[in-house]
Amino acid sequence: MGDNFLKKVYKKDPETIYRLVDDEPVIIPLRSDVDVNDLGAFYILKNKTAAYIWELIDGKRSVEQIIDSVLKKFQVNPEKAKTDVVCFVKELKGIKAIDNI
Amino acid sequence: MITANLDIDYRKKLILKRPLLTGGIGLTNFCNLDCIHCYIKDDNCNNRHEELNTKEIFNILEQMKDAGVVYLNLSGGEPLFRKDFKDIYLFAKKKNFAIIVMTNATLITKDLIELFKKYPPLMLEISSYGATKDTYESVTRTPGSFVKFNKAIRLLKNSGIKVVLRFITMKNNYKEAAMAEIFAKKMGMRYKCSYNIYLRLDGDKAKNAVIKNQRLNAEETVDLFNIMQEDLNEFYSSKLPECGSVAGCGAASIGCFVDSKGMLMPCYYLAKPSVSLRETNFKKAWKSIALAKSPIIEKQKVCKDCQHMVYCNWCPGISYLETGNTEKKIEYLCGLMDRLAKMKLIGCQ
Repeated sequence: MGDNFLKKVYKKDPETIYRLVDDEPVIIPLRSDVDVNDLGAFYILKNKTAAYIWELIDGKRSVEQIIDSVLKKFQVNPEKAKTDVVCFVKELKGIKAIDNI
Repeated sequence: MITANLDIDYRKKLILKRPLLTGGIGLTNFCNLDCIHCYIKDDNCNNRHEELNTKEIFNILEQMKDAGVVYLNLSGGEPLFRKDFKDIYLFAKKKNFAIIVMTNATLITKDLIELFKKYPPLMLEISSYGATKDTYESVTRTPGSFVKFNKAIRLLKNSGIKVVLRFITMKNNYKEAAMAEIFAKKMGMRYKCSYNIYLRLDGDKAKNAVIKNQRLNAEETVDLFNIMQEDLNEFYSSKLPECGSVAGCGAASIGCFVDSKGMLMPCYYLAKPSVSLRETNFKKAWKSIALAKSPIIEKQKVCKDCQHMVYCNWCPGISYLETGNTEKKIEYLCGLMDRLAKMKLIGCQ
């Protein structure tokens, strides 16, 4: 994973819906090409880290800064934090829930 | 870190926990078309003043959002028939709903398409009644409607707006179901076929007679599945309700419907129990519906002696429309199942 990617800043797509459903954080990216069923693409953010990263994607912080914040918030080793954040950001980009600045 | 979609296990879990997830509002009972199979259209203009006004709808949407509704179906009648449709749609968008607009498309304009492009719905679900003008208008009984429908579909093509074309099958049009599918694919749209038409909510006997006359009998049903090249036995199997649901589906567990006069009910077809949102706030009304002891509908209870139970489309909503009772057998479906079984097209359980 190159440094360029770590410097990138992402913002949430305004057409991505974020809600708590039965206390679980859920996102529904309306611009997603994935049309899995009648209810469209429906994604559950599986853990606290995912929900926290989602919160941090604000169009201001770079991927690198998000990794730093995750390291401060959770007790994980730096490599794991980096891998998790990068993978998650790529997943979100893939379903068009976020976009580059 | 993310997991995709409402898979079956997740859906079951949701239904057991009953968080309100989907809500519908019938914005009006009026429509610009005059479809022969319509279960809801009101012809009496004097009744329009009884329908929810813009402010009331905003208020209900606000409350639905607070109650947790994520998916919002805007239906009718014809929802685009309302002059304030754009205002309602934009208000719902601001409230961050995933919106499904259920429309016949004949009132779609370039302006509306621009609106949907800028503020996308989750999807437009467009009813389709025929692949040719004669057939389409034999259903809509509205001259010029086929041209308007086609024009709208062509405007929507390549717009980026997600569209599902839902073909409503009945005697007049079922032979064109496959042609309609080809058309949908050509337009880059998803296609769905609806195999049922329903009796009227107001119980109008003359109109119900027309609807009954349009239902497919067993032979025509077989013909339709042949035309669609679909497996009838597979389609009709596993029609048992999901465990833990109130009505055999998401109704009154993860879904609700508000009619054009503000009555909150389990679904479009099931008006029992219902509570007026003009008199009770949404959360309180929903609580009384979702937790209502009656009707706890069990298909197994109503159809316990029937060997075709797992194949049948019986549900409390249809039962209510057909018999005025949520727990009665539906003669039409019993007859259809018997006939299909005699033709050895569905198995016995």
